[in-house]
Amino acid sequence: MEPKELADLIARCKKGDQRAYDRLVALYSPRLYGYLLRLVGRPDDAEELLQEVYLRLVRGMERYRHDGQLTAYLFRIATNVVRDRYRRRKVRPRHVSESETGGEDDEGLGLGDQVSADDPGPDASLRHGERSSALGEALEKLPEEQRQVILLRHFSEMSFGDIADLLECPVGTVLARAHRGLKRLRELMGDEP
Amino acid sequence: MSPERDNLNENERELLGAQSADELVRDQRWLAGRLESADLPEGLEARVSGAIAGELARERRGAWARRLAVAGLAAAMLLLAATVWMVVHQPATPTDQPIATEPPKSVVVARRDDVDRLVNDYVQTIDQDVVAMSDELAVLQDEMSGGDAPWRDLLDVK
Repeated sequence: MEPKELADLIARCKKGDQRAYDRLVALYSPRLYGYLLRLVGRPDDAEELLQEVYLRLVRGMERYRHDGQLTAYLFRIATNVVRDRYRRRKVRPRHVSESETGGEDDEGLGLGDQVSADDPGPDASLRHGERSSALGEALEKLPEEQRQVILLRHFSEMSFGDIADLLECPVGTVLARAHRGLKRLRELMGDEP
Repeated sequence: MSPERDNLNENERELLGAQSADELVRDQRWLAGRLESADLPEGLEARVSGAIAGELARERRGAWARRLAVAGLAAAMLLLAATVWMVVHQPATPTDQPIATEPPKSVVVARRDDVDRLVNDYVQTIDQDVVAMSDELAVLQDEMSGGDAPWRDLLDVK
């Protein structure tokens, strides 16, 4: 979308134009949903979280100052929504963290504290076709911190600097997570260079 | 991810090291060819749109409620200001009047009448006394002019 067209769309959203919001939903939902689904691993949760992202967008639209970075803004909201959700519920996505696997850095963002007793488990999340693919399964095996960086970089196209700001960790840590995560992903896929 | 976004800047290359930076760029491109956006579940867009419509309606109601609250507050302030103004500027009530330095006119009139009457009485009394004294003085003059005036006996102590 052209920058001017996007700016007009946002201006209409600021006036409460429902159709402008619908257009944003159509534009950004596939990438946001892809990010959320692969981050939390459950389609139902990803749907709920996607709705929450747009609700927060509506609530914050009055304060939003458009600088051409709506994508980064939306993914920032999405990341915060996931973080808030898993902090509140004391549930975490069922993926392992770097610290659990003896990763090099453990100062990164944790999405929650413990696995809930009523966690539906892996079988419940295999409904979505793509997730059952080899790549989806390989992504799930990555430590949570590495997967988050890789997914943010891939879907939001944010710079590593912006990702570091969002996750509140040094750029070097973010780069290392992306490098190690992608390397591990290729190994898991049996597609090493 | 677009190819130009795959590239790292100088600072990032320095942080990661040249070899790792090249590997990262290569692996990002590898992933870009395989990981696509997820298909949205049936009806998800409509549900999101409905949720947004509900939120917009809620915000509109909230905006009206805020306007009403502001208007109500302004009206209350005006009422309060008007009340204060009226209290400050209202005419003084009888109990608020300063203590009178003069008695009411009717009282003054009554007292003046009394004084006049008293003065007249006093003057009349004095007049009567003066008349009586004049009479006595005349009697005394007559007696003094006589040979055997009684006052001589009174003076003649020896």
